[in-house]
Amino acid sequence: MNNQTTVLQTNSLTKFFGETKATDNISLDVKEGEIYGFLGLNGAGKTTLIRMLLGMIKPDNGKIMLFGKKLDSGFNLWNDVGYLVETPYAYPNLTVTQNLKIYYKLRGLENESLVDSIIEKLKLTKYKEKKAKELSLGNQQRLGLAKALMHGPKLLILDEPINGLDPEGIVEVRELLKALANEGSTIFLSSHILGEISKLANRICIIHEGRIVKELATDELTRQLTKKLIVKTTDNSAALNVLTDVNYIAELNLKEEIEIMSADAIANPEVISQLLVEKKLPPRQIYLFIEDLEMYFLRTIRTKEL
Amino acid sequence: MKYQIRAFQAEIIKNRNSNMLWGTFIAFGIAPVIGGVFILIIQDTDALAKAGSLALKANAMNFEANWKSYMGLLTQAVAVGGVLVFGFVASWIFGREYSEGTAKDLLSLPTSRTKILNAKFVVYVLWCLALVLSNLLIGFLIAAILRLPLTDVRGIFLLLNDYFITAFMTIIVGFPIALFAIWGKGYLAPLAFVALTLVFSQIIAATGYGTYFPWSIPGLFSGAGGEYKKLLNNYSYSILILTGTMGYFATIAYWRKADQTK
Repeated sequence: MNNQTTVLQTNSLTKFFGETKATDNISLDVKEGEIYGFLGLNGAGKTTLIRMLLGMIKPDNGKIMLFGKKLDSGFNLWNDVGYLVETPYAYPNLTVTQNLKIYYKLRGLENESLVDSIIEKLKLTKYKEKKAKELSLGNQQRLGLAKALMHGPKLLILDEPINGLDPEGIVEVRELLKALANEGSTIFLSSHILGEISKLANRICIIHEGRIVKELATDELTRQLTKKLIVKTTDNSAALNVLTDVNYIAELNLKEEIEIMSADAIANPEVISQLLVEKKLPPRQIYLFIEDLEMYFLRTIRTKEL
Repeated sequence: MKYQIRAFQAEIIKNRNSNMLWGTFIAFGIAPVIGGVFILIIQDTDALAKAGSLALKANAMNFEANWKSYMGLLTQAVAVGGVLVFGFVASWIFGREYSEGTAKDLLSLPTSRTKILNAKFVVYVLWCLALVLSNLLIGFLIAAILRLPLTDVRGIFLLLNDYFITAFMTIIVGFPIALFAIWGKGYLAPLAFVALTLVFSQIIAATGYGTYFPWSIPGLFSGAGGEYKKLLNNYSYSILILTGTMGYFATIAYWRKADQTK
C-alpha cells in the first residue's frame, strides 16, 4: 500500500469558526484505490473537513493536495472528483433525468449515455421521469450518489453515503463502492457508524472535537477490540480465587460474572473449563465476549477526553 | 466558452419548467390589462359614469384613451412594478440554490463559480426582457382590440425608446439582489432588500433626492414622478450603472471567496 500514489493529502489542516476550532491540525493521506473511513460523532468536524477537501471552506492553516496538486482557486481537476456532502438535495420540481442533465452540462461531459447508464446502475430507471420531490429518502440518496458517480471520478468524497437507505440499499451501495475501489477509484467516506465503515474501509480514522484521535487499518481494529472470557460457576467468588491463584488476570463484573482478560485463557478456553472442573467448580456458562465497534469507538474518544 | 455555454444550458433546464416563470408573467401582465380597462372606461361614457373608483383613478392619472397615456402607464409599470417583479426573479434565480439545498453541488465543478453566476445573470436579464416584451405584446393586443387611434407613429417609437430604457435601468438596479441572495443563503434577505428599495425609492423620490438614489431613477425616468424626469443628469445615470456593476462584481467576489457552509 505504501508504494501506491497518494491521491489525497492534508497537512496540519486547521479551521476556526469564530472562537470554535472546527478542525485542529489534521494531517492524513489517502492512497490510490484505498477506501478511507472517517469516523466521528455529529459535530466532530467531519463535514468541515470534507468541505475543505472540496474547496468550499478555506482552512486557516495547513494545505490540501489532491492528485499531487495544491487545492487552491486554480485547481482544475474537479472532473476527477465526485462528491456527496451531507443530505443530498436535488431540484425538487425537476425529474431525476433533468437533475442529472444539469450536472452533465456543468461537468462538460460529452457522452449523453452517461446519464442513462448511471440511472440504471443506481436502480433509478423506474423513477427517471419522476420529480425529485416525489422520491423516497432512499431514492434521493441514490440520486445524490448518481450525481457523484456519473462522470466516473478517480476520487470519491462521500459524507454519510448510506443515510436514509434501507438494508437492501445499504448492501447495494456497499458493493458498488467496493467494486469502484477494485476498479482503482479512491474513496474517502465519513460516517458516524463504525460498524458500516469497518465493512467497507481499508483504513479508519477517528476524529473527535476536530482532532484525529486514532488512525488504523481495519484488520488492526479487529485486534484492538477488547476480548474477555466470561465464566459463570456455582460459586463465582471461589472460582475467581482458583483462577487468580494460577495467575490469570480476572475479576468479578457488576453482574457477578468472572471476566478473564489473560490472552492465553481467551485463546484456550477449554483449559479454564478443565481447571474449574478439577476444582469441583464446573462452569455453568463460558463464552468469549468481543467488544462491539460502537463500544470501541466510544472508548477511544473517551480515553482521549481524559 | 464551452463551460459558459454549458452553465447557461443548465440554468435553462432549471428554470424552464418552474412555476415561478409563469407566475411572474401573470403578475407583470396585470398592468397592460388595467391600462386596457382604463381605456375602455374612458372610451365609453356610460361605463365612465358607472366605474366609480376606477374612473377616479384614471382621472387622477390624467389618463387618456391614446397611445401616449397607454405607453406611459406601461413604462411606469416597468419602472415601479419591475423593481418588485424583477426583484422576485433575481431572488428566485440566485436564492433557490440555498433554499433547495443544491448550492453545495455547484461549488466543486469544472465549471467555475464565476461562470455559474454569469449564467444566472444572463438568465435574469433574459427573463426580465421577456417580461418587458410580453407586457408590450399584451399592450399592443389590447390596443388593437380597443382600436386605439394610431396617428403618430414616430411618437410611438419615442415612447418605445423610453419604455426599453426604463426596462434596462430597472434590470440593472436588480443586480445587487444577487449578492443578498447569496449572502443571505436563500430568498428572505433578497426579498427584504427588494421591499426596502421599493419603500426607500418612494420616500427618497418624494424628498427630492430621487435623482441620486439608484432605485428611484427608473421610476423618475419613466415619468412616474412627473417633471422630476428633467432633473436626472449624468450623475444619476452613473450612479445607476455603478450600482449594477458593483452588485455584479460583489456577488462574484463573495461567492468565490466566502466559506460555503450551507
